[in-house]
Amino acid sequence: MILRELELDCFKNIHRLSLSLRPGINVIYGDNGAGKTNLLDAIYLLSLGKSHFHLADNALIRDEEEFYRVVGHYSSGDDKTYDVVVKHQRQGKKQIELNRKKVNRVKELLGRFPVVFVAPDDISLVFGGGRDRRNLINRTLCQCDSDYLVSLMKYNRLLRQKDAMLKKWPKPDRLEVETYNYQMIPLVETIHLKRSAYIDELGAVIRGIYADISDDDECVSTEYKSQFALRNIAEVFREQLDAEISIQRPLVGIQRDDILLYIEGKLFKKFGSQGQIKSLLYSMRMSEYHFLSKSLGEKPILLLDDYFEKLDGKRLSALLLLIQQAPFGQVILTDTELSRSQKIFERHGIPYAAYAIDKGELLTAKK
Amino acid sequence: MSYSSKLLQEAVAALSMLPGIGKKSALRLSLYLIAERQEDVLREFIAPIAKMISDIKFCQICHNLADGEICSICVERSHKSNTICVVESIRDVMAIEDTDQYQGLYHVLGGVISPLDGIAVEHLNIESLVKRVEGHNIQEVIMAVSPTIEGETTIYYLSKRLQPLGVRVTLLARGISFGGELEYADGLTLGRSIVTRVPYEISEL
Repeated sequence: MILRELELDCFKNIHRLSLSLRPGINVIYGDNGAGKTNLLDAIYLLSLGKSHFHLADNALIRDEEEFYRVVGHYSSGDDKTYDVVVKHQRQGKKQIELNRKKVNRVKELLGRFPVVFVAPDDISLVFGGGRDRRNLINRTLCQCDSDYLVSLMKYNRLLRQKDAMLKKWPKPDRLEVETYNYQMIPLVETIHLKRSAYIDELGAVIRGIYADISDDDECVSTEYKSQFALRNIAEVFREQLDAEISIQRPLVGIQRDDILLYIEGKLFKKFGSQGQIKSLLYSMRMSEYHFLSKSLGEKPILLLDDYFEKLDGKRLSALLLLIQQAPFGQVILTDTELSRSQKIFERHGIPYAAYAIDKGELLTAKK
Repeated sequence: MSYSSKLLQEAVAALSMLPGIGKKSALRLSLYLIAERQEDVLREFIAPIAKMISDIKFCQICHNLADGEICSICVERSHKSNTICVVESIRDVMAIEDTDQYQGLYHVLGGVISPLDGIAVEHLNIESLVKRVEGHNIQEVIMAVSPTIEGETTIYYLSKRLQPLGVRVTLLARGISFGGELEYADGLTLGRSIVTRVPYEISEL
């Protein structure tokens, strides 16, 4: 899927902007605070219906304005065109339209315009809590597996109800809590199975990409950390029931899952060097790209925010190699100055388009 | 809007407290009441509403609306039926009664279990249901609760509570609606309808 045109109205610091993009490489450059990342976030919003940075919809509206509106015109390989509109008014509910028809559930949008966002806050994938890593799994699986998405949404709703039940006074009895467990168990089964298969494959993919870009032949591996590993799910729920009631919060569930990342059998978090971590992050992001293109049969749009800042030597060549491999989808990257990217792309003979933006406005577009 | 009369303004404010009635409708209703003959309005309109508010009761058995301590359905059917249909609200009783397909008893829960909205088991008419099933010769309990996450939770909880009593618990059939077209049915409903399909019965001519 190629994003041909992007229109923004009152989105974050951007007042009004319209941009024509090309297949292949697009470089957006400008000073810090010019609105480069916001532009990428708008593209992310069109694909997933929400901001990459977990911002509430009102926070996406430009200061002192009443609404935002983001429009994307896409075209697919077989020359079909799609229009996506996401708009939100301060007092109202966010609305999404696909080809001028209202989309009632984000589910209908997910996976149609796949996107991978590589942002500077990536480091949390290694050092942050389990939530960041679960988000990575969820984002990928939700875009390509609607069964997973439905199970996860239902599970989260039940979890919130169960949490509220555990916090009430007088304390709930066992049956009241079991009522939720009973409904969660089949969902946990589905989600656990899918996560488990995904993480296994993820390990192999990361290992492959990592080997391509790192100097040494270190072995990277992943492990799915879950309370349900090799266990009967219902039994795990049963074991914690009394503890949950006395401590008044849920102790069991897939909300406690995590992925452990190892290098040479040792935890990355503790033993990875700066260079190794950079290579790992790059491999993890590219694995997301790999999965989406494989399961959707479609190249996602790759959004690289401030990326040359972090790439060097082998990683850069590996990325360029990937970009040169046809057929490659669309890449939209940002940089503080054009000259650096210009030099790289021209050296490798890769065509690109460049757009300068400043203070939320488009200055020039050159090819 | 500005009113010349404070009395009118207060009446409009009162009427617009009703669900589905906005300021403009409230004004229209108020002006209509003023235009009618005063004693007619009091007799035909105000009196019945006031009487309903002061006299209406909830049935002590099934929690349906009643004029006395026990509602008319419980009075008429208690000795004839040993089936209880469990519903969320009084409106559900009316909806099922309108079908003319059910001649049994009811039990109004007053909602579904939803701790997020502050509704826990003890806020619903659940204990009285368990006592009813225990104390009377009840053979079957029909769960006529919405198939939402909160509804399913309530059904599961109730079934577990009723299980030791040995009563038969049934669920409303779920599937394709009458007059609906297959292509518009949602995937979940359609999938379930395939799994729980029923034999086709040829009616005798």
